[in-house]
Amino acid sequence: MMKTCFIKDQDFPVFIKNVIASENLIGPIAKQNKFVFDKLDNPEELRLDYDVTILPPKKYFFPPSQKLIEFDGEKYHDCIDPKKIILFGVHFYDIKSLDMTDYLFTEGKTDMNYMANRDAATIIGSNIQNVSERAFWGCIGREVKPKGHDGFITRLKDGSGYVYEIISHKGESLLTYGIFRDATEDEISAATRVNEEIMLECEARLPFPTDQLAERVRAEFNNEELWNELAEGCFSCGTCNTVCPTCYCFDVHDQWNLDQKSGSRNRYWDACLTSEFAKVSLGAGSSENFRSTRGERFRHRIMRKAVYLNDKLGGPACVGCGRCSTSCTADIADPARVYNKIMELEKEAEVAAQRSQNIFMPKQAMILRAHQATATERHFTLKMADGSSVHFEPGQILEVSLFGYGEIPIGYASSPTRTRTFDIVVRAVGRVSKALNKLDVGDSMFVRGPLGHGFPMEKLRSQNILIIAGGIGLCPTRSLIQYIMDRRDEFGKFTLFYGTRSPSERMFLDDLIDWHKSPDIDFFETVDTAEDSWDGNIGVITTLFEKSKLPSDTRVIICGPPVMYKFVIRELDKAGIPHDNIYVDLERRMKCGIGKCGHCQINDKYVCKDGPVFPFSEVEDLEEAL
Amino acid sequence: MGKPKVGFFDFSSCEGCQIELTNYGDADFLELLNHIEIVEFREAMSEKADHLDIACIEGSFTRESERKRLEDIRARADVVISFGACASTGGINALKNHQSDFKEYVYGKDADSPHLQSNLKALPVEAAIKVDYKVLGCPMDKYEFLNIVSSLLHGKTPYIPDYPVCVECKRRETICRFDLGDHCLGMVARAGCGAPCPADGIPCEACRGFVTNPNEDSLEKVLIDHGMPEERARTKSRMFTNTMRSDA
Repeated sequence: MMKTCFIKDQDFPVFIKNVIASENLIGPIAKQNKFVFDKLDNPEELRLDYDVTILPPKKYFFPPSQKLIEFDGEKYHDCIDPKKIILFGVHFYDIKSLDMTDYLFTEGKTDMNYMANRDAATIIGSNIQNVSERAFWGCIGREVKPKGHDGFITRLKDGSGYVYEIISHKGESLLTYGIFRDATEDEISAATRVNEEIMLECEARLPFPTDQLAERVRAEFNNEELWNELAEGCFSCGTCNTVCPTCYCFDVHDQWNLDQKSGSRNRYWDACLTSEFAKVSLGAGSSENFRSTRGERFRHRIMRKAVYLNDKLGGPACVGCGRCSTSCTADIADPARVYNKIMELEKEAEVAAQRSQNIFMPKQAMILRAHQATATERHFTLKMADGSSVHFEPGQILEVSLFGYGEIPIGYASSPTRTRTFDIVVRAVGRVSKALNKLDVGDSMFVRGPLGHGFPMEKLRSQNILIIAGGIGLCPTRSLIQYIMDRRDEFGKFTLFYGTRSPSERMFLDDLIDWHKSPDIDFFETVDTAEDSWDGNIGVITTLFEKSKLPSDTRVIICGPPVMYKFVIRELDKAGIPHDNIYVDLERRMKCGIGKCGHCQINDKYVCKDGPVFPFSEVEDLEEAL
Repeated sequence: MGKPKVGFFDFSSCEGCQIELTNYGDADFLELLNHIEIVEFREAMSEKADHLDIACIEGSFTRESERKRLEDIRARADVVISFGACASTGGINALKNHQSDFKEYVYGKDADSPHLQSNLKALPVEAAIKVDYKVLGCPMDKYEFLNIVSSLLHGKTPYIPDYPVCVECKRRETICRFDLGDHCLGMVARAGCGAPCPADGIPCEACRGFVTNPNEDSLEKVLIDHGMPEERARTKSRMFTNTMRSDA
């Protein structure tokens, strides 16, 4: 079916006039300072620039009051009598809502009192030209796509005309009323742009990913205080329900005519916010109201819109039209405000949880393995004493301590992909590190972390990677090396440069042998000086650049002594690597690890909190950084 | 069973609700008379009946001397319907309930005349006798009255909505008075009238009284938020709900 036509702006009124002459055409028209869907008598009445109508188009299929049965004594008959209509100019959010009510009225047993009207209708959508103040269709339920309509007309921004997308035979039959031609590729893409751009207009009203919405709203079900507070100003007037395009509750009453023999059974729109909606009579004047408070009724509506029907409808039963917010006299109905409030509760809870924790309290870690890697460096494998697993990113740090000696910052030297244990390497240089280095298997140390920001894994994934590690700089980068080796498919070409002052300072000897053998990594090594027994490369680390060809889109990670950076970056500049693609792992005196004590501060940045890994472009102009 | 005998009685009121009865149009009114027999109706006849199936009482209870007359009607009637706003809620007459100088204000130098003496408060009929059903509104809604009579003829409890007028405005897609810079009491007013006033450009004054649990605090706040002076916002709903307000 999908065919797309075009009608010129000057031909459009005649098209509408012709439809009016032959069909029952319903469209948006002005009613004082608002808009309503109503029968059109002439083309000038049609207001495709409307923002939103007071009532949604459901009123044509599920009228505010509808006769279900007429009776006369013992005789009775149904009242299904659909009128053929063309509903023109329906915004996409109302198309979505009609598709939802279609589903809900046909699910299980089909309600033909609704569906017969629906079948008799042709629905033509139109693009949104003006955004209602309280609309949030740009951010809610984006996963639910509009469907069930017969055509969609988009007014092009340049005013040249309308692109008409035909979706069904009903939609196609309208072509006979106007001068249409096939739309050009340019016109079609211009129409697509119009409909894409308008979506950005109100996306900011829910500044969080809506996939968590249902779960978060559901979690507050028993938060009585919240619902009572939200509903405090509620008049129980049901306006939010009555104007809602996805509300379809009704009540049924019988009525006699004046002759007292004949009469009708009628259904009326009902509203779950009204106080008697869930009341049942128990006889003898007593009753039970299953939602007796304003808060309970308010909650029910929000649950129904954001949670209860999601499985059936594929998303929230709220299309973001904003009618409830605009119509609520007390101005408490706005679902966007409610959703935002609930999402903020989580933030508040996080803050409260953090406040309840003392940031200086470390946890005990047991030494599983200890190995003297070099004369000064000791390599530990640890596990949390309470058996908890550790979650960190390569490049993050932790504070390691011994009571009575103190605390020092150390980077993780193993990958979070590997085990429930983690490695660190302690170089015995100060009071704390010397004490730590005397520990052995079975001893404990005390740790706080992970802290700070590690390597930006999202930006490194599927890229060519070069790691340049100097001396002890191999410890934090070993975490990343292991990570990449474990998920090798997720990365491009992978190269490692490793330089030490002399062969005796080389660490992780088993790893080095493996990496030299592995086809997964191009590993180049050098030492500044060596005895004759060393048969590898001799020279500073920059000499390795001659050995490997470096694609200019490579992402580069540098970690080593400060003196190394300047020379390495000079080489990278020669290779044309942008500074945004270079990451440096900075070393500073990080006492607290949480951006408070001030020791690691460089200008406005705290290495412990904002780093220790930074994009080079972010720190190259900071005077004290390198 | 013959046609139910119905009597109409008036107390402090304008008798407009009884006049409203004649506004069905001839054909409909005559059709109604096929089903009920009017045996007392001061507006149209002078007879008095010993027994009534239905007594419709218009007007509020404003003098102690009226208690006996009300009790007499109750004793003769199987069903008592308070007929219209004055009888059902005290109506406009109850505007005097929070004032002390109403007599001087209305009658000036004649204020002390004996025939003008009344109770300090105008009260609904149910303050004196048991009332079975209420036809609300100023004037009463004749279709609601028909519905109640129809229900009684068939031995069915009449259904009278207990939701606010907003429901009915929205059903007919009336633009909210607040959206036109006006005020309205529809959010606390009991529906059943079909919301004709806002549709005609007039705010709802809650002539059918309050819903069962009106949010009076929220009403005051909304009126103030829409520019009404605080004191006026606080007292605004008195015209028809003075006996129903929390400060009654």
